[in-house]
Amino acid sequence: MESSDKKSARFISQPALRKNLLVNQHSMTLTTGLAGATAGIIGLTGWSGFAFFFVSAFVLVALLQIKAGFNWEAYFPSYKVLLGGWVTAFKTYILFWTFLYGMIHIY
Amino acid sequence: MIRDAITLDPQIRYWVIAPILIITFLFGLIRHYLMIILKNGPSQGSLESVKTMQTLRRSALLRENGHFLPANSFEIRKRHLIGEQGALTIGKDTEGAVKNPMQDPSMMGDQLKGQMTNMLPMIVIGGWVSYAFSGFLAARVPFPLTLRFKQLMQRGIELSSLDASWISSMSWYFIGAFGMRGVYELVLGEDNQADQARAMQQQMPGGVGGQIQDEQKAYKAEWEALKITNYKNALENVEKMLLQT
Repeated sequence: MESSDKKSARFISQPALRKNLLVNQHSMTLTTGLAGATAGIIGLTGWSGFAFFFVSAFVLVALLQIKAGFNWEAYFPSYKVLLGGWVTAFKTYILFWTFLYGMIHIY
Repeated sequence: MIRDAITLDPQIRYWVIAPILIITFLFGLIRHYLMIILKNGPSQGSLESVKTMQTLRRSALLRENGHFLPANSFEIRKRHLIGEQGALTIGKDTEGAVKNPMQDPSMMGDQLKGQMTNMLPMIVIGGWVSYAFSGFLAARVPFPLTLRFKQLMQRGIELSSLDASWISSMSWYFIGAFGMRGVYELVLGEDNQADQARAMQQQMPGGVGGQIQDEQKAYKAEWEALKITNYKNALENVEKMLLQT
């Protein structure tokens, strides 16, 4: 008789989990910053800028999945971890986008 | 999309945009270290409250990880906690005596200090920015904004036909302040005090020395939660799983 709820019986190592979450957060900040800078340099405006944000977010998640070997469950308790922190990332994106756009295109 | 191509003085770039950004960032750093200096040391709390916290934590751990124990061990621990003389039962039944009011002021002081340290520089610098850098356009947000934003973004600029995308230096300061949070986390690591949103969430740490407002209620909740926790052996098929891998 197999135990059906194997998921609830996992042992989660706290330091490792914290480290993974930190990596998640840092990578999100860095990539959105870089994406914002790129958008500013290219000169994207308006809707294409927002679309670029979503594209880069998608690429980031895809890369994280590849890094985790498509085995997200082994590194994080659930998929819900992906949901947090996007608003901060968006703000960082806006900041870098505005900054670089201003630097390059308004002179 | 065709927009009015206003050309701004390149001096603005060097003397306004970059300085505001740098100042915002540096002030965040200052705020972080200031908070660390001014913060009271981690308050231990009385012996009673520490005991309470530890007991509650022990019960929670038992609930969460108990299924890794053999059935007998789990039952023993459970009965120890919620039995007749159990720690949880005693805590549940004693009336909530002293609410530790003397330790509340220090908590309040910490919260207040945190909020002041966060709000004050923002107000001060915002005021200085709007005083020193007013009356001209600073930058332009790369996306179209509705006219309602004009009132917010273009303080001090009296052009009614101007595109709402052009912002004043004050709003540039705010964009910087909000967007910097991600950068602070990179630079300062976890648990940085410059993170305002997180600072507002840190009201009740509940750590080793945390205060419990109503201890009896906490005990009661934990007692009931533990009582309904059923034991489920997670290691039942561990031999099979081992042989399968």
